[in-house]
Amino acid sequence: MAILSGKHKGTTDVRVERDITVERPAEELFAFWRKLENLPLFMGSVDAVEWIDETRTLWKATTSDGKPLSWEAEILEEKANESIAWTSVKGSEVETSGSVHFTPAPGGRGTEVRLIVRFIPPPSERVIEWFWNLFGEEPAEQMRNDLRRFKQLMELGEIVRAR
Amino acid sequence: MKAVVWHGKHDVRVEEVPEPRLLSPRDAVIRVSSTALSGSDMHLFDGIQHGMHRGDVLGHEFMGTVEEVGDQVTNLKVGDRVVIPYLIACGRCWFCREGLTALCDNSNPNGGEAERHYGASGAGLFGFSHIFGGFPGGQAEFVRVPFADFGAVKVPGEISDEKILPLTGILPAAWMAAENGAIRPGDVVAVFGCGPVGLLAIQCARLMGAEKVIALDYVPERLRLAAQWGRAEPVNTEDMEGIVDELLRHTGGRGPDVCIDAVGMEAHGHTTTALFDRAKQALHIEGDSPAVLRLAIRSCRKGGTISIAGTYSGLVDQIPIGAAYAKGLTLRMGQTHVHRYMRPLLERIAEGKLDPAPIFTHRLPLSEAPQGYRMMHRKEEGCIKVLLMP
Repeated sequence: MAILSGKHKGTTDVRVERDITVERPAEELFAFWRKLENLPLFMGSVDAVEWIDETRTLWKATTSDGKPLSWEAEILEEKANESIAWTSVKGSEVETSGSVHFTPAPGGRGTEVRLIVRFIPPPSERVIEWFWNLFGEEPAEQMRNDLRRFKQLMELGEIVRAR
Repeated sequence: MKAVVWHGKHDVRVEEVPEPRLLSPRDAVIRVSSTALSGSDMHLFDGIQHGMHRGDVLGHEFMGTVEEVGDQVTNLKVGDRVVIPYLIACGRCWFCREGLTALCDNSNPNGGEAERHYGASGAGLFGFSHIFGGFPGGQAEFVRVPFADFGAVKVPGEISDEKILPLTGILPAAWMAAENGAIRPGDVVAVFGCGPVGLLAIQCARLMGAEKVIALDYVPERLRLAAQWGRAEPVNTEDMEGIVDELLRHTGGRGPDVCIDAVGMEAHGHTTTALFDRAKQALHIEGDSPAVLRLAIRSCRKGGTISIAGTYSGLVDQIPIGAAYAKGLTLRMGQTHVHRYMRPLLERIAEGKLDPAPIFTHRLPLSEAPQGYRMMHRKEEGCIKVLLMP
């Protein structure tokens, strides 16, 4: 779900949060996610994630009208097999932060994955329109589809294609 | 290759399209020997199912021989004769492992859209709306089958296509409809709607020990088949008032122990009004009352079970939930978990205990598919179900 959460530098930011249960152990999901270069495999709007040093990465994307877009992010905190938190560095083209959490599900039925992402549009831009112009979809829908693909990749080793 | 292509309302054409290829190591490509038109195809033909795209290849009931397999499909080889479930299931998620393959978590690549409509996504479907994945269907010379290692069932050569093809969906649907009714020997079962699933549900109910089956429909041809083939007591609901009273007359005032709704809503509108309108159009089965489900609730015996096999996809209005509560009814429903019924039903067919073949009233070459659609849609010439051969 997407929540427009208060004011930030005169514009409203957006916080999106979603849960999905994946039938793999938390350690395996954490290890896959921690290799941030894996994320473009299921994140529809990210083309590549490249490591700059041990905590910083360069994220590359293409806007819906075909322009290259990039931002630098940094891992703020991590708990082995439990969570990872990150934020874009100051002055990035895209200002965003987020975290992912892995909790074993009851009954041994896999792992509950919670993803929380926050986007802050440039001053004077309306957040949803700004996001749409960048990625061609709504933030909550993007997250829903990304997480569904993540689950497919983890449970099946592939992303299902209709054609 | 030739395939039946959807172009819009009442517009399907046989056209040349590119042949399918393997996209995943768990895929197979099947050379289709027989394929059928289904009630859901009629929804697509009517243009009431949204999410169809011009150019989509139709068909979710098909069988044939394996033409090509991916690296991980080790249980099939080229030339094997196979039948394919109409819904696609990954075989590895929690739901698939529980046998609830219609609820597969992973097989619908457009599941996000289904989640928005229904709160959760079920399995992907062949030859259907893009809300269910938009997988190209099997009314074609060839079809790509995802997760073929899990879905495809090998069938012996000596049994005819007509007997095997209903395993793709309608026979499992009928079996699950009867199973959901929790039929006990001696029960009286009312089957609302004698289309292919209703007619087969009568057969299945008999096998489960139903002593008396009451068949309700308004098409004489279907009622004749229900009576002859299923030894059911036919009730023609055309212009009938007091269907509930009629059912009470058939059951010594108790009501049927089990009511099977094999009609469903046949409506896909988003507003209550649209659904209401479509219901009146589709239901024909009775006069003023808008839903079979209502009739089933009102007529079912105290403590009885209502099994919903017909499709519902939106909202319904004025369900007498108070009557259902007062009578302590059980309601069960859902898309068919085809995979778990195919092998046991194949055995029954092989043993001669079940023969679904009479359901096919018409056979046509694939090239005449548009004519088949028109005929089945208008229920012309006693048409109940059409088999197509590429």
